Amino acid sequence: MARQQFKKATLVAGIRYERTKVTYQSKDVIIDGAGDLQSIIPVSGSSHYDFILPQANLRYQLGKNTNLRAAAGFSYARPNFSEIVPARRSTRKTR
Amino acid sequence: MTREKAGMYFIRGMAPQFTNVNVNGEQIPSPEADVRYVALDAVPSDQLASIEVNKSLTPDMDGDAVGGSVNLITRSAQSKTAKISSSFAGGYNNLIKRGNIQGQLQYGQRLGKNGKTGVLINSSYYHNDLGSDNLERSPQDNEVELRDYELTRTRLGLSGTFDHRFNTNHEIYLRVLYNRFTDREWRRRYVFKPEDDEIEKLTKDRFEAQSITTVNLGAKHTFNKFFLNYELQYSYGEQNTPYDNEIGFIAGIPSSLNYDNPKYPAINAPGFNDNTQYEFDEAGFGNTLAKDRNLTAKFDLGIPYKLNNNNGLIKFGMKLRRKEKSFAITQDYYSAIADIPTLDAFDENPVKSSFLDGRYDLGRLYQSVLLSGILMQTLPGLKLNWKIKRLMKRWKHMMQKKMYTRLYYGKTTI
Repeated sequence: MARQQFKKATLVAGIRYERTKVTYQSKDVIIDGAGDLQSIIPVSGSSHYDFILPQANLRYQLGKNTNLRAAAGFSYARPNFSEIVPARRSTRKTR
Repeated sequence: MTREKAGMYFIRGMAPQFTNVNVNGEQIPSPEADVRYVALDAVPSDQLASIEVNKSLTPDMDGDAVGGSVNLITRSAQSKTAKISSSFAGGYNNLIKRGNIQGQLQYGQRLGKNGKTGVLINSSYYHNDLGSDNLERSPQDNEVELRDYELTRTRLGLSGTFDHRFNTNHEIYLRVLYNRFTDREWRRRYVFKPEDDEIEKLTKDRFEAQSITTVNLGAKHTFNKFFLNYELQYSYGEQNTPYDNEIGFIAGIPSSLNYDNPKYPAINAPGFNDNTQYEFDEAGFGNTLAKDRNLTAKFDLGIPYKLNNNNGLIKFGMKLRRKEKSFAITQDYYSAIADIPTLDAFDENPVKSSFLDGRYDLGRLYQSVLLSGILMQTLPGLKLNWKIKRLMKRWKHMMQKKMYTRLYYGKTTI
């Protein structure tokens, strides 16, 4: 990234690259028709994803106490952990 | 930036999971089980020097922040004179008639002839007992619940900063932070079900401990033509719920509910607080453990330059992070297969008659003997007193372990 001042304006811009590798282990719980535990099977897997994220921030000094700012950039959100591991929810009627 | 209840925050209108939380410039894991966000009350404010909020990212910041990025900065030693500060505060909770305390102690000093070495140690502790008298109404089922909550929360914060400035251009530092938040909850409920001619009486006991540990070790160097910063970070978040238990008893007592006063419905159920009427229904015992660990290494290299009297900087860096998260849940349910004594065999003093300013008489509570007895059998290292042991043994024989309802174990490496 680079930061460059042009008199009253300052530009901060650049590129970020992020690569994520994911591996997971979980257990699949098999419950039979009668509602009893039948078996627990280990599950594992992996995935990966990457992003190129260009970003630019501009600041312009209008006056001694006033700045004008503008920004544009790319970012991303990661999934929650239960969304990475294959999972299902089964509910037993408790009463 | 908006701050909502219990440490939640919204930057640029985005929910907390879209903002990453850093301690001393590096992301920390969430102590909570499934989510990525870190509630800001996980770190006590008296451990901090300042909070930075970034609403737009620059390329030298982590890109997994759609809303923005929060950086919590711990304190460091500023002056050669030893500085010791402490604070103490206390309060009183009228609802549960108990006090609460909060205290902090901090020492900071720059040592050596020129104050090259800085040491700062900061500790804080908070203990709060609280309660809640709560009434919930479900008109479509014609049910009313009386919920009596009793909670104990503690918060321990420890942090330290050690830095050495060789000269104005070269410095190394070590920053350490440890926080532990605990929450014990008792919940006692009556559920009035006039349509079924039934009343349920349930007691829940839960303990949860959340902790965050961070260690940052790094250096900053300024040379003639460039600067170089590098750092290693270890951070660990944990949520441990060793027990989350609820035991329910049930009585075949008819009741009628009158909503003429909608705020406080009149409950006509003669003998509902008589424990001899209640028979064992079901018990659920659960525990969960979530762990999340980050190991990060990074460096930044910057080259300042001048272009026609205008300042410029070119910056380049790399970061490697290994994250490992695991989450285990166990939940068991028990129901009776033989005669279990009615609730009066387990009740205890005192009588809780002052619920919602004395509007409802909850009768005799039941709790510690029954619930903690089971816990103590499963938690090694805790002493089990004879009376509880015998009682529990009897009780256990009369129950049949029904099944594992949910067993889920996940481990993720990122």
